[in-house]
Order: sequence, then structure tokens, then C-alpha cells
Amino acid sequence: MNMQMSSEAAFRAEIAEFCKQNLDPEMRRLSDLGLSVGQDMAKDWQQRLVARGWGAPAWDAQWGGAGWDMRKLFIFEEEMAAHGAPQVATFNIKMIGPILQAHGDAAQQAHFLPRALRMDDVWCQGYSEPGAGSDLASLQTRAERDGDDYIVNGTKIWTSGGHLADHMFCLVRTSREGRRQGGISFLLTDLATPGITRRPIRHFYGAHVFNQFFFDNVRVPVANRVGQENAGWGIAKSLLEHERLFSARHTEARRKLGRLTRLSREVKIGNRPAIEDAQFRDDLAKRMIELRALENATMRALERLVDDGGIGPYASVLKLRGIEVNQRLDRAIVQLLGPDALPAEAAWEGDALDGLIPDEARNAAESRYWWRGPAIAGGSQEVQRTIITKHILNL
Amino acid sequence: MRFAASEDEVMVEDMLDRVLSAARDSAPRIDGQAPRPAPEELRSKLGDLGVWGAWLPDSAGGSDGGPRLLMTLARGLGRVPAHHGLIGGCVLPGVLLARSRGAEAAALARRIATGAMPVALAAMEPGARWDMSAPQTRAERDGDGYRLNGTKIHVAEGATAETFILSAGEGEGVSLFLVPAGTPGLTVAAYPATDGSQWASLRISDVTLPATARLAGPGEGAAWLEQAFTLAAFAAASEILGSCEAALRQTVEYLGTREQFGKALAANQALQFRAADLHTDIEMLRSQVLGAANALSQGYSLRARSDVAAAMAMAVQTGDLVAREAIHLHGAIGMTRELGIGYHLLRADVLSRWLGSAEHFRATFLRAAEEEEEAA
Ligand SMILES: Cc1cc2nc3c(=O)[nH]c(=O)nc-3n(C[C@H](O)[C@H](O)[C@H](O)COP(=O)(O)OP(=O)(O)OC[C@H]3O[C@@H](n4cnc5c(N)ncnc54)[C@H](O)[C@@H]3O)c2cc1C
Repeated sequence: MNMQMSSEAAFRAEIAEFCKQNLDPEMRRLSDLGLSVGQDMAKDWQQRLVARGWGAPAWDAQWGGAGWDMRKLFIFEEEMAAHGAPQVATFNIKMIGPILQAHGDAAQQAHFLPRALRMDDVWCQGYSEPGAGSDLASLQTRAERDGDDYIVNGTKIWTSGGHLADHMFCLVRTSREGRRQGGISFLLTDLATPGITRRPIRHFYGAHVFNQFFFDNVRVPVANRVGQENAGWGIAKSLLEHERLFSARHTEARRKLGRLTRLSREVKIGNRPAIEDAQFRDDLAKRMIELRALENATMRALERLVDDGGIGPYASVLKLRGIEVNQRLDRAIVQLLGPDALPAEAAWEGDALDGLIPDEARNAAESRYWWRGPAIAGGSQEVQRTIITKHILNL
Repeated sequence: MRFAASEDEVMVEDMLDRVLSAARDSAPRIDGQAPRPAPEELRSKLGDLGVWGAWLPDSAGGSDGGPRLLMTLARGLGRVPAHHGLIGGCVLPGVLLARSRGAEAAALARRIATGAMPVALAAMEPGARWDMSAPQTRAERDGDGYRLNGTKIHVAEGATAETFILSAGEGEGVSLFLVPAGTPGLTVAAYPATDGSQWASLRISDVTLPATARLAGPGEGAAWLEQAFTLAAFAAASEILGSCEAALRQTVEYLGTREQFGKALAANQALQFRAADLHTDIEMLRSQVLGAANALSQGYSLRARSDVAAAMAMAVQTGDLVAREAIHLHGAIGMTRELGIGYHLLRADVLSRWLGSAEHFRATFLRAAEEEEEAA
């Protein structure tokens, strides 16, 4: 036990040291505020991680993975977040990389994996369609064989970061027979291919987050199909088990709590710092307690993962509550800020607010707006409740 | 520390479930009410199994099972509707007696471990809510001994106790005294609480005690009380966890069998989602209760105190919500004493009226968390 504890502490210290040496303060500041660091900084950070052998720790060692067990992977993610490291290239590292390692052929692996690791390619995810949201299996974008190519027609929507990407992994319909899920294939698409057009979609708070892509007779080589034809559904559903531990998004919540407590010493209610106000203290305690329980729930999940190799529908419990905890923290932050949550993030580009309001007010309101999204994406809260109903309560 | 139950814990849990459900099922149905095992029977049955005081240290007649065992015991008891007396008759006096070095205290602790409940703690006073740090009951020196005057209220297991542990202000501090029930000047008056359990108030008028009756001096009493009530809150949170599990299980079963509009109630998504949310709440409570058990197992630290307060703040809220939903989702039958699902609400209420509201525990939590941060 002590052995284990001390090697864990050493590992945490190693990560802390790496962050100290490599994480530029501006990058840390931006990610602390929940702002994206921009493509250049992201690439620079990823290069540093790759150089250290930490670019994609969960991958197979042959492709640059670190060969760590579940517990170490978990600590790595937690510690990186705690030090304010940005999350970069998540579609590359957490989705297409593992999918190609599990289901890709040798040529696909050799070509795409090193490029994904270094961010030479930037990937986005093309699953959703205007008519296929929660009921993803109803997707209609079709791919028809023509010699060595598929000809793809249709549209993909809500593509996060599609404007920053040059490649898309997508789900397309290759058969209309049998079960809907059984007629879907997984394709890798170069977004520069003729016939692809993109329309930006703004988030309601103004940021460019989403995109819609249109496919008009787009030729995609059959060699870019991952796995068998019509086997795409199972491939898309496979996600690394250890990633499911982060369904609770507790590391992001922990950072929000840090922001809330720092602000509570700075912002005054009446004539006293908020932290001395009884009503505020009760609200703060609520937020702290639910986060502490969530962290314990995540540690339980980690233990179960190490013991049993998977956490099953328990991930839905984590996601359902974790999103709520994050959203309530965001709300607490803007409520505490009061009028100082009024300026848009862009207001910080000039000097109009210099020294007048807490710097931590930056992006507070936008973060709250952004965090409405995770409750809808990746299996909405209602989808998670359905999983709990069917697979835990057996109703 | 692990979260998953150890083999021993699983064994105790199974054993408790077996014994407790047998006790419930064999209890007589009086006036068509849901069967409820008689407290004395329950106490002696569990006493035979050796679980009552197993969480206590060896020296106090326990088997060092610690907080994890206490959690298992309290949670198991929470699953059946029964006046078990664990917190008032076992945990509160047990913690205090185990801290004492006196021979009389040790003998009493050993009896507690067998399931007898000879001792009750009298620390609450009229109008003081949950603040036990400044009792109006006073202890004055009187010859070689002490003279006590004051009033105590909401004494759990007080109606049947042979001996009380009484808190009283002495100088600037709080002391604790062992007072036999028949002591002249001590008047015990019993009353029922809303869950049917028996409580007592004490009127203390010129009660004189020998010097040996003092269990803890003015420098110690407050800290002892705090530790005892922290463990009580931990046991209560564990009990509410068990109560929530039982209430949700019974409700989910009912949703699957009751039909309206030609289909099971469970076919309605609105009801499924309410069940899914309750399940999620209970999983969070379970995670925090386990976190608190593990922290307590490492010692009585600030972290343990904040974890327990967090667990109880959650338990009060979740217990209330799950119990209300369980009643509602049963429809009119949920209102009946006969079905008995309402017991979960009665019990969750009594535990929080007694030990503290969610707001009270949130305040306790935050103070402990802040102290912990300052210490770090
Ligand atoms: C921030 C964000 C990022 C995204 N990024 C991507 C991306 O990169 N790539 C991509 O392919 N897609 C992405 N999506 C799309 C996402 O996968 C879909 O939004 C999601 O699948 C839900 O589909 P929908 O939006 O069409 O809502 P719908 O499915 O139409 O649902 C509308 C509402 O009805 C509820 N609902 C639906 N079905 C049921 C039911 N059976 N019972 C009860 N309630 C139900 C939903 O929970 C929701 O509240 C993103 C979405 C968001 C919000």
C-alpha cells in the first residue's frame, strides 16, 4: 500500500514538473477560464507531449502509447487537468486513434495514426444529421459503391470543430436492408475532396462551434472504410473504457469550484466578502458536497474498472450527474459575479475593463452557455436516464 | 482504501438481510399495519450474531470492525422498518464509553456490544437546536462530588435507559457525567416521536453525584460530544442510504406490476425517468457514505468530519426526496400505514430533526473543509 502510494505521489510529481516546464502561462490562463487555446498553441502543446512520450498515453505502445494501466491513465488525466493543461485534439487522440487501432487495417494504421498523434491531420466527427440525432441509427447519408470508391451523398450537422479540421470520420448508410444499425459503415474522409461544402453554425452565444457539411457525389476510396461494410455501428459505439470514467467531467468541475472559491474572497455581498455571507456559504457547501460525492463516485468507477475491466451502465449515472454538477457550478459563478457577468468574453480584448472587475469574470457567462451542450451531446440526459431505466433498474 | 465491500462486509450484509427480513416477515400484523419487528426481539437477535458493538474497539467489547462495519450495520437496519435504537442506544453512548478509561464505563460498553441498551446520552436542551457546546445545565462542585441542575430534551432511548450520560457546563467547559436513572432529583418523562420511537425529557433538580461519576472533564466533554455526534451522523447517513435502497426497490417493483391504461406503470417514460434520477441520487449518496467510511477508518480527522457532514447533508436531502417519491409513485396505497412505505419518510425526518438539517450539515461541512484547507 505504501509502495503504491509513494509511486503514485512520484508520478503526480513528475506530471507537475512537466507542466511547470512546458505549460506556458497564457495557455494555462486560457484553459483555466475554460477558453480554447487556439490551433497553434494546441499543436505546440501536443508536440511537447509527444516528445515526452505522453501524446496519447492510452494508445498501444507501438503507436506511441505509454503502456500504463488504468489507474495511471486516470491519474494522468486528473493531474493534467489540475495543472491547467488544455485538452487538445480529443477527436484525434480519444476517438479515431483508438478506433483505428482496434478496427483499422495495417495500411490505415500506418498512414493515419502517426499523423493523428502529431496533429498533422485534425479530425472531426460526422455522425449526426438533421434527421438523425438521439436516434442516430436513422441516419440517411448514403455511400454507394462505384469500383474502388464510394460515392457519398447527404449532410452531416453539429460537427464540432469542423472548421478547424481537415479530416472527418463519419457514419454512412451502405444498406437499407434488415436492422437499421446493420446497414451503416465507418468512413474516413479528407475534407478537401471535391463535392464537400461546409456551412458554419454559430452557437447561441455567438461563437463558431458547429458546422454543417454537405456531400454532393463525393468520392471516398473503399480503402478508407474502417472494418467491414455495414459494421460501422459497432465501431462507432466502441469507446475506450477508461474514457468513460471521465463521463462525470469531474476534473472540469473541480476547476470551476476553484474559480468559484477564489471569486468568493474577491466579490463582495453587502460590505463583506461573499465567503462570509450565510446564504452564499450554504450554496457553496452544496456545490462542494455534490462534487465531492461525484469524485468518490468516479473513484468507485475506477476501482470497478480495474477489478472488472468495465463499468457498464454506471457511466450513465456519472454522466447524468456530472453534467448537472458542472452546470450548477457555472450558474453559481455567474450568480456570484452579478453585474460583472454582463460583459462578453470579447470585452477583454480591449482595456475597457482593466482593473475594474475580476479577471475570472472572463468567459464565465459563455461557459455557462457552452455547458448547456454536453447535456444534449454524446447521448442526452434523457438517453442516459433511459439506459439507467433499462439496464440498471430493469424496468 | 477500497470502495467495494470486502468479503467480511458482504457476509455481514447477507446475514443482516436474512435475519432482518425474517424478523420483519414473522412480526405480527397489528390492526392491518405493515409488520414491524419488536425492538427487543431485534436487539437480542442481532446481539446473538455479535454485530451490535462489532464496530467498537476490542477494549470496549467490540471486534474492531470500525466505520465500515458500522456502515454495513446501519444500512442493513435502514432497509427494514424497525425501531432498532442503533444510534441512540449503541453509537452515541458507545463512542463516549469507549473513550473513557473507567471500569464502570468499560462494563457498560461491553453490555452495549451485546445488544442491551442500558445507556442513553442526554446532551440536547430546549431551544438550543443542534448546538451542544454551551449547555444551560450546570454542574457545581459539592463537597467531594457534584450537584447538577437543568433540563434535557430529545433523549433517544431515554425512556428505557438505566443510566444517562449527561452533559453539563462546568466552569467554561462541558463535562459529561454518568447518572443512574433512579438518582433522586432526576425526573424522566417519556414521549413518542413521529416515527413511533420512544424518547425522553429529563428534569434535573439538585442531583448530587460522587466525583467518580464524571466521565469527561470540562477540557474534554465538548470534543467527545462532537466525535460521538459525528459518528451518529455517519450512522444516520448509512441508515438513510439503506432506507433509500429499500424504498426505491419496492417502488420499482410496484411500477413493474401495477397496471393502468392497459399497461404497466413502468411503461411510462415520465415515471421511468423519475426512478432513474432517484437511482442516480442514491448512487451519489452511496459514494459519499463510502468516502466518509474510508476517511473515518483512517482516523478522526478534519477530512473525516467534512466527509461525514457531506454524507449526512446529502442523506437528509436524498432520504426526503426518495421517501416522498416512493409514496407518490404508489398512489393512494402509498398513503397507508398498511403498505408502510411512508415509514421511510417518518424515519428520515426523525433522523434529521434529531441530528441536524441539511443546512446544518452543510455549514458543518464547510467549516471543516475550510479548517482542513488552512491546515494544509
Ligand atoms: C455541443 C455539441 C457538440 C456536438 N458535436 C457533435 C459532433 O462533433 N459530431 C456529431 O456528429 N454530432 C455532434 N453533436 C450532435 C449530438 O450528437 C446530437 O445533438 C445528439 O445526438 C442529440 O440529437 P438532436 O440534437 O437531434 O436532438 P433530438 O434527438 O432531436 O432530441 C431533442 C430533445 O428530445 C430528447 N429526446 C430525444 N429522444 C428522446 C426519447 N426517446 N425520450 C425522451 N427524450 C428524448 C432529447 O434528450 C433532447 O432533449 C453535438 C451536439 C452538441 C450539443
